[in-house]
Amino acid sequence: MRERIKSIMLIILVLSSLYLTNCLVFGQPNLEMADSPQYEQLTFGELKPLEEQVLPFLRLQREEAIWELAPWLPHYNQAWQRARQLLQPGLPPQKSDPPAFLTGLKVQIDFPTAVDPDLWSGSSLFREHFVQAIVWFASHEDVVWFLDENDQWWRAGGLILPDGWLSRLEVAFSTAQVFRFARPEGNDFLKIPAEGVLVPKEVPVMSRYTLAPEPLDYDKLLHSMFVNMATVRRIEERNGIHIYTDGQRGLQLFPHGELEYTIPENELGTRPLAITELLKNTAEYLHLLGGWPDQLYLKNIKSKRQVFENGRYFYTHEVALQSVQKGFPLVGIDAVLITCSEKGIVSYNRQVYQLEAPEGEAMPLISPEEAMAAAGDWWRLQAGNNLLLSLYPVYYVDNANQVQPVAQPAWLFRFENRQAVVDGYTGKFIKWLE
Amino acid sequence: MDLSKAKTLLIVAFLGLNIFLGYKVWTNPKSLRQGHVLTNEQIEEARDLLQAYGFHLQTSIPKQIPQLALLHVARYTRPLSFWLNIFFPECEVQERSIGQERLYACEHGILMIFDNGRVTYKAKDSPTTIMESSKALAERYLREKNLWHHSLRFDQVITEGVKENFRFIQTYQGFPLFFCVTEVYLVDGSVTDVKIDRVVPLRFAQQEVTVISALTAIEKFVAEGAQHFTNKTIVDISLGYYSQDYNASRWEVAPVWRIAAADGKAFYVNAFSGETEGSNF
Repeated sequence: MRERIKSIMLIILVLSSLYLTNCLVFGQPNLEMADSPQYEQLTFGELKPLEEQVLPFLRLQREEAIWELAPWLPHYNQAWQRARQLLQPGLPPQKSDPPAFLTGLKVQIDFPTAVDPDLWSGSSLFREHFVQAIVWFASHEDVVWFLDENDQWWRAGGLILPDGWLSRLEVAFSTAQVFRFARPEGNDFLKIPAEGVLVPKEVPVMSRYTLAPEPLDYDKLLHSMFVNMATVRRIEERNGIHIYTDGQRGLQLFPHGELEYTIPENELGTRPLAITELLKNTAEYLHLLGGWPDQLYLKNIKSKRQVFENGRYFYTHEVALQSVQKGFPLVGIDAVLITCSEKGIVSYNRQVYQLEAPEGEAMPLISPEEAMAAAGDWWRLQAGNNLLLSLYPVYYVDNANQVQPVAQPAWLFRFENRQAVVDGYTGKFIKWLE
Repeated sequence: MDLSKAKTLLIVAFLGLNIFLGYKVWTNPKSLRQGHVLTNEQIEEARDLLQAYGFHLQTSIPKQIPQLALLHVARYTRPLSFWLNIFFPECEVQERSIGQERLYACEHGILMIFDNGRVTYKAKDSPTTIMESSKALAERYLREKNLWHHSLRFDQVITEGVKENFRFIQTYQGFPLFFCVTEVYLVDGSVTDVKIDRVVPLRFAQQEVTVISALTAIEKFVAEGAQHFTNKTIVDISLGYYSQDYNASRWEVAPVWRIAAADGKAFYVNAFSGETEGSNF
């Protein structure tokens, strides 16, 4: 009897050891106790350094001759490196009248958005001021004037420039575009500043081009936007739009190459972002969502404040980037438009086009005077009262939302508060830009 | 060594081994079981939560927390002749387009075919018979018109004035597709309106994800949807699929928890993310 009990016990022990071994070997870990899944950090290109995001227009003026360096022109970096030394005055700034009364050789820096100059200079003298523009006159070489974000001019002295600074700057400007002031006669419709309208000295020769969307790895982009693809729904709309959504965020891919990524829950930001924080976030967003190719340049930054019924304020910011091709900006669309709050991206629109093939031969645009004369007709209809400041040659993106968009050579009329595009070959009004 | 001693030694050895294995199994992560369920305490918690917001439960709270995948669907399209044969056989039809709708009229009624695939029929004739409206009557009508499909499942009846709306939900492999409803409106036993929203379910996506529990869905409901429910009788808490209306020919649909009241109002919680997916307030 005792031996039988022993045998039964032994059998039970052998079987239970087999069962326990099976549990150990084949049992899967609980979700809560399993290691977190390792998601690959997907990025596009290099992270754009903060100081390379805001690139101002540089202008050197000697009497009537003006040289302008846009950020996409050769030797720009060299000139900007020199011009940056104007950001380090030795004395605290004081309120001033606009330096319009001064003449002679002048250097001007125009930022695309009001920015903290400490981004480059490390100087604390500008601490309380965000700067839109900086002006320096050779006749007052130890002083800079700057325009702050509230359109107030300031004067800061104590500037010490190294020997030969100006001559080295002038060398860097050797590849700059030459501009002049045009004073069209017999045009009573356009209001023009006393010194004239800034226009290129040489009329550019441009071709109409077909445009193609940038090559983008959409699969990588999807995995970068959505953490768990198992929860992402794909919707193929009958108009060719593909939508991806996990219920919290959505991505729309349009057939013409545009993409729109939205996260509505980030919409109500509870505090405004500082410019450096905003720029840092912008660089990170682009690093994760398609990259910041060399052809993209910061165009402007807008901040919005909304007040709700309960008296609380909500903040969002819009960062627009423009695309530049063959030395001319593409206007009519924003290549990248990011709306964000301190919570993250609210919406991200991207339609980066590249010039594909020329349509016909390159032809010179009509002269700025001819364009301004043609403007009389449409300007009269608009009953505008703004001063016309400058004319720039650009590519206007036509048929932006169609299957085959094209880049139309055009003149960009820059007024005080608005911009208009006219056909570069005919002077025919195309549209107002927002 | 005799056999008895050997057995004793083996028993001691296996006992030691089992203690060791038992310890390892105990301390190691537990197996992930497909039939993960809510405990009775959690069910009670969900019930109490609904009661605290004044809701009365006429259905059970599902215990299961399964793994589900997205569902691929395609738009249900039929040629115009199919619908005309069903609703207007041997009848002269007049056609009109209003916006994105196509409207067909004949002496019996009006048929509208929407761009998103929805089909609605409105009878012109007044009811001639007085019968009690019933689910069986509505189902019989659908069968007679060849609109019945084995995937249709009766959902609920909603009284809208003098009309009684008998709702049948399309299902796929047992899962209700809450956005695909065939509604038959009856007045005194006569059909006055029919609304048809259907899709063609294609397949489930490969990757499965553990859904949120009914308790989590109820927590979301009381936080965001409960205040919109005037009728406080909950008649359904169940898992299924729900989608917004898209201008698409193919799309994927997420699993949802539906919390529905007796008056037909429903609140949908995405069973993956726990976010509000939709409602019919």
